[in-house]
Amino acid sequence: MIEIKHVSKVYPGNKKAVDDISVTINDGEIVGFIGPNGAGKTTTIKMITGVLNPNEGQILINGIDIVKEPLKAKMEFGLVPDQADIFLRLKGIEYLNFIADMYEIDGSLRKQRIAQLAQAFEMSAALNDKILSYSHGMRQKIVIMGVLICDPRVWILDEPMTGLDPQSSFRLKEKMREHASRGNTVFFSTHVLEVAEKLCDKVAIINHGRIVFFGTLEELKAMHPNCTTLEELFLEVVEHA
Amino acid sequence: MRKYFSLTKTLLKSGYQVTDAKSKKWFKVFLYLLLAVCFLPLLGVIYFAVEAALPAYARMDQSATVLGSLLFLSCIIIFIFSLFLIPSIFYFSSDLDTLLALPLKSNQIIGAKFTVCVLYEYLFSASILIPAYLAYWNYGDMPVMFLPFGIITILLLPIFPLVLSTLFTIVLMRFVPFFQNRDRFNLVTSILLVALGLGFSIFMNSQGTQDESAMLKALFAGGNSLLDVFIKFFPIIPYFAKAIVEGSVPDLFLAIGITIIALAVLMSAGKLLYFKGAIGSGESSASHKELSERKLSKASRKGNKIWTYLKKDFKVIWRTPAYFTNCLLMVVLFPVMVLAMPLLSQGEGMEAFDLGILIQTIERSDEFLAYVIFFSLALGFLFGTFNQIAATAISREGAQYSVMKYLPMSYRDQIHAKLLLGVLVGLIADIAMALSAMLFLPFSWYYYLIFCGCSAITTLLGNSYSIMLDLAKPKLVWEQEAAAVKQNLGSFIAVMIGMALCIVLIVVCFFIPQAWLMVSAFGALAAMCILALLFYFLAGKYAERAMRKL
Repeated sequence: MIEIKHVSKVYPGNKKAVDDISVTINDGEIVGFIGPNGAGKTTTIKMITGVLNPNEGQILINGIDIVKEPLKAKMEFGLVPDQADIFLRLKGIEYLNFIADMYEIDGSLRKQRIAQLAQAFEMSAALNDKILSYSHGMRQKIVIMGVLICDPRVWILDEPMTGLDPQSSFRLKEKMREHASRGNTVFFSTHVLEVAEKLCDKVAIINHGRIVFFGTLEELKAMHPNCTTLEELFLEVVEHA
Repeated sequence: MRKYFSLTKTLLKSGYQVTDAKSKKWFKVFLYLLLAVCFLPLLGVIYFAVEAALPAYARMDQSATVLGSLLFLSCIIIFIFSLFLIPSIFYFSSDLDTLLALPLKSNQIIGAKFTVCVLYEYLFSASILIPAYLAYWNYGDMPVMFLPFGIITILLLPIFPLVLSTLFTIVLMRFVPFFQNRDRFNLVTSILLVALGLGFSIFMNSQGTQDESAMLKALFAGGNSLLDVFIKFFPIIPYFAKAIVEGSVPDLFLAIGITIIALAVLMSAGKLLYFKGAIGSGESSASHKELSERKLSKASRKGNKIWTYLKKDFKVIWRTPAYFTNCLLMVVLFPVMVLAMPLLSQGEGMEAFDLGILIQTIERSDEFLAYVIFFSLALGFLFGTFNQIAATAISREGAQYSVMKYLPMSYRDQIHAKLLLGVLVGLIADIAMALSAMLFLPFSWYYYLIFCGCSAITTLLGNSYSIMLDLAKPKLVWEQEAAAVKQNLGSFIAVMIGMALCIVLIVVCFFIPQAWLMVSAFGALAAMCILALLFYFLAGKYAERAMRKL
């Protein structure tokens, strides 16, 4: 469960990137985070994961305050950041084991998960190579695998589908559904509205640092009956917020 | 030409900076002033050295030789540094893929990139030559054209050594595909340069004894004939030196002529070879071999967090050539230099006395242990900070520093893991140094043990304050990994403090009255122990605060 309560973030120069947002993502839910470029999506994700501190408000991950008890809160979630160029000089297998050690995953369990995920994401032949030699999509896959191996209760993914091939994208969506159906939480940002429609229980739309809609897509469609496509719906919400 | 100027301007704007993009203007000005102040002693040394040498050389009609030596020094420094700079700017820079896709001729890219390199090198040539010019001017009797010819020399001097290194790189990248991998290129070049440096030193030593009579003949021949020595390295040097000191216009034209020919050769070679070498130079290879069951099991063992983090950092440093050469190569280099010392000093009277007897006599003195403690503490600072591992620990993370913030590991533990890696490498340097010194300085083994123990303490202290400096102002914005270690003011200051503490400890022990020496040594040891533990603890504590602010 992720609880975001009246959170604001002001960058130096008085630029308010996030303005008093409140969202609760319950256990068992997949929530998509949508918004135009520069709307405050990444800043929000950075605050949820403890990379940035909010100026106001509180963020709880499974009831643990990320600012007051950061270490305990960080054990509750796994993050796929927007930039997958991490630890490029490590081999894929070294990266996975590094992350698994950080989350204190047992040796035999991680071995089993590495083998399964490597097969699912077609990465078996790449694990022994340095991440530097990977394509953009492969880098994205190894970072996603790092989260899936540790299997924390909350998954936070910033644009996870970017660069993924159709098979891997399908596998990831499958894993996200599976994770939520086990009573866990998945929160991810995306620009692909179709993904949000097919995968999410709810969507949060952010614009100019404020949440302009939070609920199911059905609720959103009911609010704007004139819009026939998802794009129209999105533009309507963003432009008239 | 418009494309060339536009590209040069863009490259300059996106080029080297000592600070990161977030730094305020006053801070940048302060840093540049600080750097200028740091350079002052060097400028002073050059000025006084030239002032001292000039009268003697002038009496033998060799006054231009002094200037020739400094021109040679500039050229050799520019040549060596550019061997690393040129490949990273011409072949491995992140802008290359964009530039190759633009409608630009190879000469426009080479011309712009080469101009940027030349502009960077003016700092070197100016800081060496301006104090030399001042010393010549004060000595008097300089020709009317001294100043204009001097300025022309500063402006043109970097071109020739840069042409040499660029040609070397262009040919290598075109015809030896092995070097098209950036990591391999940097690694092999670094090791070759160390070997080259040692080889050059041995060569110069042997020249000193072999060509003594020839050198003497040239010295007494007058007419700045000694300048011919430099022709075999950089042919421009004698002409530039004579042009400035004698006001000789033909010599200046000859120097300019050689420079223009060198540039023309570079442009022709670039036209033929640059694109063929540059396309695909950023690629890196992969084995695509599946992991065996045994390897997977071995790799998947659960490990201690701090140890895992330390190993991760070590692997990154080991596999990144810029970090390897700056942080780890010194560990290899120190013992090699110690071993090379007796080799280099052969024929300088070392065989005149028996070293064994001398060492036994030194060991018997009451104060020897005190000196060992002081020297060990001093050298610990040097080896602890020289590797820069702790001093660049956060800076090396670059744009990915945010990973440190979301990993479920406390900032204190992360910083301690980084710090301990610096200590470990420093200790390896201490031990390697002791082992290599044991081969030709036969002190009793337990003195070497004391050396390792005492230096470990200051190695820990040096690393602790170094990481605190980096935590306070890390350089997180860089394009090339080399910038995180080479253009990092914090790590420069950490190394300078380490050197200063080393010198202070050595100098101080010689001023302490004999009766107090032993007490002072143990006092210093105890103080360093307390400080090392205190700073280790403080580094962890400070990490929590500093990382939250990042």
